[in-house]
Amino acid sequence: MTDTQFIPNPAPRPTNYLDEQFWENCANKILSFQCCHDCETWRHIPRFMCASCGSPNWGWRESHGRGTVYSWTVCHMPMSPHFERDFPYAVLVVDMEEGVRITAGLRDLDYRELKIGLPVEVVFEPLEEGGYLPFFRPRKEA
Amino acid sequence: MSDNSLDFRDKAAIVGIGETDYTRGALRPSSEMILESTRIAIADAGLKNTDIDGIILPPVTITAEEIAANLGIEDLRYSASINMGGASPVTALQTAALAIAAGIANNIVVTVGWNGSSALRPKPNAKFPELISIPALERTLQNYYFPYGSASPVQMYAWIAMRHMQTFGVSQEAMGAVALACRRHAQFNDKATTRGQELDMEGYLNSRWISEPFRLFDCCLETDGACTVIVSRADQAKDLRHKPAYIMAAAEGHPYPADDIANRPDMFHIGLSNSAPKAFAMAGLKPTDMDFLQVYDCFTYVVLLQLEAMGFCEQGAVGEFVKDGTLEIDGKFPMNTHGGLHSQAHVWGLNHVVEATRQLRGDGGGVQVKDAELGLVTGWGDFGDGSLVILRN
Repeated sequence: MTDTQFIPNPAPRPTNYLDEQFWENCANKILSFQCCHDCETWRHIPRFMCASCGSPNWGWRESHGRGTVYSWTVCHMPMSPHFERDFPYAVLVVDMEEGVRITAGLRDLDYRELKIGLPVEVVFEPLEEGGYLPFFRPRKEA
Repeated sequence: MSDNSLDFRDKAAIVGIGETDYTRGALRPSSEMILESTRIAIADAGLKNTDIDGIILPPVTITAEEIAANLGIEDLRYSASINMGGASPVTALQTAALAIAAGIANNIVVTVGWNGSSALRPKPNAKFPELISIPALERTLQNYYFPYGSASPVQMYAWIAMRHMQTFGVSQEAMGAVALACRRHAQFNDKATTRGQELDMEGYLNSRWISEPFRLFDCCLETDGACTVIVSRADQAKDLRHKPAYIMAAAEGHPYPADDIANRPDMFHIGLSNSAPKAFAMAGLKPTDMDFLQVYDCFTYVVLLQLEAMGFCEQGAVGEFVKDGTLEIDGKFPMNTHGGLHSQAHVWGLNHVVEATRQLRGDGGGVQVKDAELGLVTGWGDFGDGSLVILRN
């Protein structure tokens, strides 16, 4: 898939400024997660407080963009018209090096070759409505 | 349990059950169906509409206030809304038993109904569209799952199922065993929408993929319909029309975090992993004491996860546990004797509670479990919330 191809995915719909900032960072091709200022615990999905220490103090930190496949599904029946051009498609759960997990689509690999622990890295693709979505593709080095 | 906990063991019982027909393409509002099943349940109990003083339901198209207005209940003493998706009906039994044990109410309606077939696939220009919202999960869905085409529970529960399957080597035939047990039992049930449509392992394995590892016959039905049960004070229950089904124990549980499947430290630690030990301890029983199981079966693998979470077998051993017909009527633990969501109807699992009550009355017909005295019902909802009730006659 090339960088210029339209991605048929529906855009995320932020419901608060945490979601909005996560997606703004993605729009700049930066995958970021929150990190607690007090106990240094990373977290995702975005939240107002650190579940480890209770602190409301946090900042965005850029992820290395590397992880391994934790689980996946392969969708053979699109549940939304957005995906009818694109199936079957895989949706991954990726275990990131920072210790959080993220859900994202798969790129540059036949879904039949997926396995738990497969090393992957982030790759951004443009959204039809503007912005970028993180996907994951296999990486050479583990 | 702490010393100041309210003991609701055996203080309440299910005394009335009611169901509408289960269909696809109902031509009437789900509110009307909820009222129909409620009328049937009240009559089944031998009560009058005005005996009802409590109403518990998940957020559907009708409110407790509207139900009370329709039934002519001038003094509604207790109402509650449960937000646990498909786990709501079983959680509602816990809530009802608590309200009764606390002396707040005497006869409580627990109900649910929806146009789960026709509203999920609405006709263009539908005059009165019925939408089900899931506010607890909306933010996660809209931001983090839906942009990748993960828009339906079948795709999200698949993450848990796929990892479990890959980790423990559970076979597709184990999933098929759940489907076949449900379908076999549905052939004896008047309300089952798959009656006359038998299923064998070859048919199961040949069904098309929906979202791997789920095939078509791993998925439950989509149904229009409603059902209701009446929960009453145990000391008054024995004077009513039917043999009561006593609520021995109940508990609700939530996975952590409940609003995001991906970031759970242990993906196999589901809501039921928390609630089941509490409910069994309250009842003073163990899983193997049960004469039958009614397990929430939105998808086959969800049943396998719940059987492990309740302790019917070691983690990872469920494939071995379910083989050779364990879950069928002539097996060790007959499950979903009405056909379940898989093969009777999808009424949020309150139909499982109705069936459990029937079994304990001895009204199970062609799938009556011999000498049934104890049974359990589970609920599963949202991203893996889980409730358990243990009933006896």
